[in-house]
Amino acid sequence: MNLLSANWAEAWMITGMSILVVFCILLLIVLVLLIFNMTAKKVTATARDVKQTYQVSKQVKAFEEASEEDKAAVAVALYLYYNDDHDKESGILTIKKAPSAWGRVLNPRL
Amino acid sequence: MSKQTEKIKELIELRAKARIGGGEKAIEKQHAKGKFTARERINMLLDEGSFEEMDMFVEHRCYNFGMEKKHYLGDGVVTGCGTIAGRLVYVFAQDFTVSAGSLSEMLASKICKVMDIAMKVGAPVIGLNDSGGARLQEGINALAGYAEIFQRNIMASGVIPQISGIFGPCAGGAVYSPALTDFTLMVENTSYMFLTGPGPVKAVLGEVVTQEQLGGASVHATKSGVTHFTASNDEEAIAMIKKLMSYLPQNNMEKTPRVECTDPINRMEDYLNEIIPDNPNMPYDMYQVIAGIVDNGEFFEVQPNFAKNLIIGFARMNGETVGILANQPKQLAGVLDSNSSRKGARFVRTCDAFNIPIVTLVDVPGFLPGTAQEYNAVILHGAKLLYAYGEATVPKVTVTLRKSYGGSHIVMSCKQLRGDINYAWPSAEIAVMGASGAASVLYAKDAKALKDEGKVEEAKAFIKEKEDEYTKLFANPYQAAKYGYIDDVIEPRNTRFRVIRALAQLENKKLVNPAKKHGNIPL
Repeated sequence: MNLLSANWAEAWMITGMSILVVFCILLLIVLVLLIFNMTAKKVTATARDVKQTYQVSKQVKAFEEASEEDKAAVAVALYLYYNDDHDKESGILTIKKAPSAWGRVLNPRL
Repeated sequence: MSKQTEKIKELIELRAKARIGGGEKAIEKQHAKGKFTARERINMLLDEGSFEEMDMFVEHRCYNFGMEKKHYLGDGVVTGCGTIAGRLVYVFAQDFTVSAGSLSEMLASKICKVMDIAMKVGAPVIGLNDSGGARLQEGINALAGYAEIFQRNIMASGVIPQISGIFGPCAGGAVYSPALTDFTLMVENTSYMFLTGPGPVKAVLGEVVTQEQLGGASVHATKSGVTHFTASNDEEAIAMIKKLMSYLPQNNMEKTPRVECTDPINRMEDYLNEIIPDNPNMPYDMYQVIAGIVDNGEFFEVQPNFAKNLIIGFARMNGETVGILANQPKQLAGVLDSNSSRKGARFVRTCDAFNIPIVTLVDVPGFLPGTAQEYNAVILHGAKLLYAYGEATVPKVTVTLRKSYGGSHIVMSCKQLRGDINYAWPSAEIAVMGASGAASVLYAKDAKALKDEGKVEEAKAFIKEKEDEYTKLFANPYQAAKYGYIDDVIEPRNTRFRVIRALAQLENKKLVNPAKKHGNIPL
C-alpha cells in the first residue's frame, strides 16, 4: 500500500537526472575520442613530414655530390617528364598497297 | 613555357575534350545500356593504330532553342579513315552521347566529307548508326543534311561498297541512308528502324505496338528483309562487318581479295552422290550441298532468316569470293515467291556490281501460286530476279541439282540468260512443268472421257502411265543437254572441282551491255 502512495514527482525527477548524467558522460567520451584522433593524425603527419624532409634533403645532398654529367642527365629527364604533353601518333602505316585500276586515267588525252 | 608549347598543350586539351564526346556521365549511360561509344566501336572495327580522325573540331552553328549553350567538339559523329586487315576504309560513327547522335547540318557535312573522299580514292564506307534522328532545333538544315547524305549514297551505289551498322535508334528519314547502302546490319534488342514510331502509329491507326515489334532487328531480319544481318551485341556486329569486308572488293574496278586456299580443289564429297532422295517430293538440305563444294565448308549467309526458300551468301572457291544463290528444298519445297525473288535479285545485282562471280544451285519446282502472291506482285518480283540475272556480266556458273521447271527454270540463271557454264546432276529434271502436272494437262480430255464412262480407276492408271512416260522423256538433264542448254552432266561428288575449273576459265570474261543511261528494272 505504501508503494502505491509513492511521490511521483520525485521519481520522475530522479529518472530525468539519471538520463541526463548518462548522456553527459557519453558526450564527454565522444569528445575525448575526437580530440585523441585529431592529435594522432597530427602526430603522424608531422612524423611523415620529418621523414620526407629528411629524404628530400638526402636526395638534394646526393644531387649536389653527383657529377656534372649525372646532373645534366637528371635535368634532361625532369625536363622531358614535365614537357611530355604531345599529340602522340601510332607511327604505324597499316595501309597495304594493292594493285588497283581505280586511279588509272581512262582517257589518254587527259 | 614557350608560346608554341602552350599552343600544343591547347591542342592536346582540345583533342581530349573532343574524345570525351558528351561527357563521362553520358558515356556511363551508354555503357549501362550494353552499348559501346562511337570511338570504342571504331577502335574495335579498325586495325590497331590505323584510325585517322577528321573534323574533330567541327561544331554546330545553331542558335535556336538553347543550342547556343550546347557545344560539343565533333558534333555527334566521329569520322575518318583506317584499315581493316590492311585495306583502307572510311568510317563514320554517330555518337549517341552528344545530343543523342541527332543529325545536324554540320554532322551531315562531316559524313559527306568522308563519303566524298572515299569516292575519290575508291574505298568502302562503313557507317555505324546510333542516332535519335534529325536535330529538331536545326529545322530544315537537318533535313538538308539527310538529303546530302542520301545523294552521296546514291552516287556511291555500285561504285564502292557501303555498309551500315545499326547500333541504336534509326528512325524517320535516317532509315533511308542504310536502306540505300549495300548491306545493313542490326544489333538485337538495342537497335530499331522505322519511318514512324509507335506514337504516330497509335495516333494514326490506333495500333498499339512496341518499338521492337515495329522495327526491331528480328522483325527486319524475318519479315521485311530490310536488314541483311543481325548480331546479338556490338562486338559480334563489328566482327560480322569485318568478315563481310573480307569478301568485298575496294571498289567496282577491283577484284575481291584472294585468300590462300587450304582446301584441295579436287576434294570429292561422296555424300553428294546420295543426297537427292529417290522420291522427288522429299526435301534435302541445300546447306549440305553448299558446305560440300565451297572452301573449308565456310559460308557467310546473307539474310539467313528472310525468305528461307532461297539461300544467298558469300563463300570462297579456290580462295576467290563467290556469291551463291541456291533454292532450299527444305523450305516451301524451294519455290520462288515474291520475297525470295527480290532477295535474290538484290544479291545478284550486288555481286554483279562488285565483280563477284555467281554460282547458282538450282532445285526449283516453280513459282508459288495463289492470290496472296499475285496480289503481292510476284510477277514484278520474279521479273526483278530475271532482269538481274540477265543483266549481270560477271561469270555465272549454274548447277541444276534436281527440279528446274517452267518460268523458274528461266529465272534461275538458265543458258539463255547468259549463263556462262551450266551443269546438271544426273538427277536433274529440266522441263516445262512436273510430270504429274504435265500429264494432267496434256491428257485432260482423255482422262475426262474415261471418267465419264465411269472408268475412274482406268483414268487414274492412264494418267499414271502418261506421267511415267513424261518422266522418262523429260525428267532428266539429257533433253536440255541435247540442245546445248546444259553444257555438261556431272557426277555430284565432282561438283566442287568442276565449278572451280569453270570459274578459272571465266576469270577474264569480258561482256559489255549495250550503252544506255540505265536500264528500267521493274522495281
